[in-house]
Amino acid sequence: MTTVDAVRPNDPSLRKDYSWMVDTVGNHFRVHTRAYVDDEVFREEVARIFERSWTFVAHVSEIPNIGDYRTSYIGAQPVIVVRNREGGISVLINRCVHRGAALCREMNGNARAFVCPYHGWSYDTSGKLIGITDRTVAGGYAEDFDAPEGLYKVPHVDVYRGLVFANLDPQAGSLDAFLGRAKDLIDLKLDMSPVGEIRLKSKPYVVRYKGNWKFSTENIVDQYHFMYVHNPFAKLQAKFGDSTGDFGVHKGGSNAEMRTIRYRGATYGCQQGHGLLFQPEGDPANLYKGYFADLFRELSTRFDEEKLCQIGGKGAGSIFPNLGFIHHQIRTWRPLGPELTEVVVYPYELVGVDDELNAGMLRSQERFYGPAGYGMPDDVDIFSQNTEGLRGSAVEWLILERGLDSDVVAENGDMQGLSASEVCQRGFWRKWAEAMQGDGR
Amino acid sequence: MKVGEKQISVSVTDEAAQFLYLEAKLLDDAKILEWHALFMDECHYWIPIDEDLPPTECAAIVNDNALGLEERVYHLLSTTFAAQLPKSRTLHFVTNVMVDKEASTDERIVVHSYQLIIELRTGDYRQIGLGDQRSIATSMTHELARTADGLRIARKIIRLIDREMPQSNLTFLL
Repeated sequence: MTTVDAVRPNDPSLRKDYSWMVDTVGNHFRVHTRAYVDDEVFREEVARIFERSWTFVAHVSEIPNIGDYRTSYIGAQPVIVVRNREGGISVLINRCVHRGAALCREMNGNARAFVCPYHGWSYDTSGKLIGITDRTVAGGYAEDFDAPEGLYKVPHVDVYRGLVFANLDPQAGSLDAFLGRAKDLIDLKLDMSPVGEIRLKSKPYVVRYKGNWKFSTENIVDQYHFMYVHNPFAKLQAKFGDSTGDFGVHKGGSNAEMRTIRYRGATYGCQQGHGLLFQPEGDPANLYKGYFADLFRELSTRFDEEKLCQIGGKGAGSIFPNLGFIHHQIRTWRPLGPELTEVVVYPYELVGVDDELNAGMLRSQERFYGPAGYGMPDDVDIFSQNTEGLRGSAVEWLILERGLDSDVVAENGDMQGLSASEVCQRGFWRKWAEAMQGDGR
Repeated sequence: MKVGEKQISVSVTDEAAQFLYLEAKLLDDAKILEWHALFMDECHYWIPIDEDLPPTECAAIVNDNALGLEERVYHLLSTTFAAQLPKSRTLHFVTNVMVDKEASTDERIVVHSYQLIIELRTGDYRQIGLGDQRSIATSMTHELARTADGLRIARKIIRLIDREMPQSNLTFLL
């Protein structure tokens, strides 16, 4: 028997096989309806994928000082991400080890210690148990009481360029190996800052939708839908252009021009399950026009033209299983049920650029991504429509075969596709099927 | 009311309330062009997530200047998009109308109200995402300018009670 989930080490059941839900036989790449709607599949995904993967839990700019914390989730596990007294980052399960009460009830704050509101047990910022109240009063704890060490520490915490990841799997491999090619995308996003850093300052957008979390995983790197779901947005762009705050993000004055720009570049389905889109700027001269001209002149002293075109183009990523990069935002999606998902959009600032650039990008994100914006509300409405449509389970399979014949194997073993290929989604599903294999394999 | 305190006449409060009722009726009757005509040429329509943070540092749910508002109206009336296909139906319940004595002048009325907005997506109510009746609890502030054409909105602020919490589709909200 292979590893039973260490979060539930005493679970006697063998792992069931769900990998058949991804059909890759012959010229097929199809996913079974149940993979999106089934309660049992959902529970197993949380255990086998979310609580076994490197999960983004915070950005260092949210917890700069000792004692700063924010709460987060790894799958269904509530965690506190805290800058501990040694200056490191601890990720602790937000649960008193005595009788289970949650310790932090705010999303962020600063604490010298975490004190349980139920019976007053206290923990330092590394999670160490530092106080048990009324320990020796009548009916208190015995001399040989087997006191726990402290809060449950998530065993692996690592940081890549300010992004804090944690992993509940004691046998987890390195974050570096997990990210793989996704580092290229993170790099080109962050390298737009002259000091290579971003900062989370704005309050995020939070949206819940009636649909499976994997719709978000798939959609953030789905070039194909843009000209359909977001055709109304293209119409707004054609009429209003940059005058209402797009800030040069969605280039192309007409639907046709927008299409040409979007169907450019390369796409990847990575072995770790990431889907990545790279659409470099086609004409380097464009980098030195518009809002970002001065910034690119500054960056041109550090990077060659190819890299500058990457930075100045478009890039988006779906990092397995629930972290997204697009525009100037980090996005996460949290699985709440097979048909309920919470999305958080964190607009970030580039450190070291003029305030007008960061403010301009905020306005641009308001216009597309907010709950009253002209883009993302349509995506999440489509997700509800997907959920409704999938009730039609007489149709068993969904089709993810665009570009299957034109994908090639990249030098490192990742799959590389043309711009509107579904190679990103296939990369995700291959990893999903691997994680959802049974013990009989 | 204490002696010396700035007085707001019943008639000004009533005038402001009647204006808010009119605005609510136009919205609930889906007379969006008529609603848009209630705004000044220079205006601001704002649904902040955090009113205390400067807009240069914090995203808002809506942050429209006059041109932005024109785009919002165009979006609703002249494009078809998934989040309003089918469309929402609303009822605005306007209460707790209070004219802000300190901020108001002869030319400008600043009026606070609580507005409970009941919304549902029309269409096939049996389908996921449609037919659910939602209540959106808000506190609003309107800055109303006196013009030759009567009161006009210079600024409208909507504060959602759950502004920093999960939202669903607010694309219909004006």
